[in-house]
Amino acid sequence: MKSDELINILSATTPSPRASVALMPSALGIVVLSAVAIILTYGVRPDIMSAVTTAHFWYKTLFLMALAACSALALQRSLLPASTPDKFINALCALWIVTSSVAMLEVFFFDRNLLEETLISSNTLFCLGYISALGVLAMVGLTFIAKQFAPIHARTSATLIGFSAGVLVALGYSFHCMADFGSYLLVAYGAPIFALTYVGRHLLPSFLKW
Amino acid sequence: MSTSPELIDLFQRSLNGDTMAYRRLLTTLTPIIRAYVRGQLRHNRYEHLTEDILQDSLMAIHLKLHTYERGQNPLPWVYTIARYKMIDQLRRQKISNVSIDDPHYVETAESIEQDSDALDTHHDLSNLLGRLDPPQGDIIRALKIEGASIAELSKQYGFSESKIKIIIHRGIKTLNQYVVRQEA
Repeated sequence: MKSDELINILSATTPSPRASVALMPSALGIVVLSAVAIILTYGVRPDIMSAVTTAHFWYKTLFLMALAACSALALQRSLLPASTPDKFINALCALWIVTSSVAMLEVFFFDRNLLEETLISSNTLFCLGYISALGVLAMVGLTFIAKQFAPIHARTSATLIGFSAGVLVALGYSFHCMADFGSYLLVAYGAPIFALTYVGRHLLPSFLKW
Repeated sequence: MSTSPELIDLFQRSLNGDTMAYRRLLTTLTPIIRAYVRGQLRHNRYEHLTEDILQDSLMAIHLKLHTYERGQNPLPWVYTIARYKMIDQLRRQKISNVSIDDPHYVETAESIEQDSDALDTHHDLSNLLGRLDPPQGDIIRALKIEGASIAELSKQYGFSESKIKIIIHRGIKTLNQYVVRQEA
């Protein structure tokens, strides 16, 4: 086929000006779905009224919101040719360093028995399972959305898909979870997010080919 | 033209559904992409892949135009897509030792305008169209090879004109997927 013929065929219709499913509303949808699923099944955390008066609650909520926003924005940038997600990835690293520092401070200055009790509780296992299971579904959804765009660096986009899926589900789940410690976030939320990131990075690049 | 407001305007108008502007955009981008690809492959033995890569790039631009950010200089976007398709094509040919520079180098479009557009390519139109589900292949063939109009095809197949356009768009998308899978 000559290139002129191809141009004739292509110019018979103008392309769609936008993707059929937008990424940011979908990311918000994942958070809402995750929150609705856990709240309908187990309800809002019982101590919500007292929790909102504590700094730990707001630290957890705002930290997860910032992480979710940065990861979704980084993913969005990674799906557009000629744009880089670098500044959002730097922000993600900074947020992760902050929560790791908070966790370290807690280990040194908080009641270690209380921390251990919280971490070893059955709630931790549930948290790991919930974020992992729903995260896989979110990862599949985000992959289908990502395919509508043009990911040039498939491995970076795949990593961000796994990470975003975990963080978005974790944010929804946090409205049920009573543990607000940084160390708890690092372990019970961090482990499934890390696992999803790892799986995404190694499994998804071939699905993102276009 | 390389960074002119005119090119940005063509992108904007194409995204707004202006078919004339879109046609002009593709025609304008063709020598730019060809020059870029040829410049990258010039020092290797793979210059003969230029037309294939150009056509892959045009198809990709058609399918992914919505990823262009309005108002931005479109050339980095175009070069990134061309580079991606070049690497893809080289990988399909199992070529791994080609050095590809960052998309900064561009031969002047004028210098290659005179080149023949009739290089042989690996994608045979009839074979490709024959792989589409009926009536997609027939409609695309009738429209642009046999010269039928959308209105005529609309009457012939009993579809609305927008339905015909949708069929063409989907057919092109399927063709692109087929080309990507073909030699993967």
